[in-house]
Amino acid sequence: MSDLTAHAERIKLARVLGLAPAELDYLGDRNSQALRDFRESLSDALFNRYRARFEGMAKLSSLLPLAANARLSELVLGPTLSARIAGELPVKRAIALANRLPVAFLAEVSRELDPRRAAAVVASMPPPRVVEVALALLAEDDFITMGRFLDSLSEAALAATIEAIESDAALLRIGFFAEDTHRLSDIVRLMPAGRRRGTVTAAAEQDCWPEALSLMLHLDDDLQAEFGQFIFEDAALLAGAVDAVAEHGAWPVLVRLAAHQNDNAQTRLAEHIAGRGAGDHDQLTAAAEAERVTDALAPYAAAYRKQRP
Amino acid sequence: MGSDPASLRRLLPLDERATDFLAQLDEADRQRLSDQVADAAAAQRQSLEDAIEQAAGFVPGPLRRTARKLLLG
Repeated sequence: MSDLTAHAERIKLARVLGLAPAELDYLGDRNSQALRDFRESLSDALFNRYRARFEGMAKLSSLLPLAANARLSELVLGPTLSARIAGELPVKRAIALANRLPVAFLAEVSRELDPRRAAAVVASMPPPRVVEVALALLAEDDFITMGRFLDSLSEAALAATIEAIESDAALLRIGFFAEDTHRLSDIVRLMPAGRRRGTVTAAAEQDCWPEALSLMLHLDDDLQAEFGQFIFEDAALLAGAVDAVAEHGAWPVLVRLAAHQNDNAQTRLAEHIAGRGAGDHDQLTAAAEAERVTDALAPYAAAYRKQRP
Repeated sequence: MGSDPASLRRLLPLDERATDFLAQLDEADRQRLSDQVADAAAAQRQSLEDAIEQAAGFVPGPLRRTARKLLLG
């Protein structure tokens, strides 16, 4: 999973630098946190270097009628400068302007926007407008941009967007790119239970187990229990999840999900792991110790010993 | 462009998050990334100057002087 997050960070950094992502391939061995720190520092520096000019642009913008302001943004400033200025505008003015601009242009602006500097504007954006922009981004498979805004959007906008996005796999991919994971449980709770189950099915059918496992790692205990139940009650889902866990070293997620399951479910896991070889059992056991869930996995341990005395 | 990290810091107010990252790269990668950052800063400066030039034209005549003051600081 760390390879995916680092790749996402290189794409975000390439956007700040105005480059194609491939032009940063030479940074392929850098970890995602280091890349993120560098990107945020660079983004701050580019903004602060010309902060007075951006503030001047914002003041000028407030002097213009909205229609002229919208033309100025679209025809002169373009998405990058418009994004830099957005956070300097009064919130009401920024929202009124957003309502005047074409959706395609707003989608471009959102790619360039730093959610940290425009949080108040993003939080106040009307849900129908958010949905329009989200669908425009979705049409281009731009999960990264949508993920960056998960922390800033209002609950109403998030709920409307979740409802409008039909693909459960897309929801997983968006969640994977969240900049900050502290709000993920609240967002997942906005999804009906049927859609939560749907994301697990989508993980198996559309090859996005890494995204699903990464999301589950950050969820509250009750949601980890629920997602674990979806996985452990279906042999095919369990096999797919364990394959992905082994491939991506995501044992901490698996043990957390398993720790919330009953004896029968843990026995199914033990039977499956026993069929894969001792190496996986060793990895699982080490992860259980690191995550301090060894006691909760006693049923698993007992069942595994029966399989491999 | 041949921008080294020291001249980059004079060009942009980079903090230790950026300078630490650059310091951990090997020399060729550090030079390459420094050049890319310098190019991005130059592109932003150019697009700002172009935008300022054109933006004043959007303002009605009587406000144009005020607009230029706002834009140029």
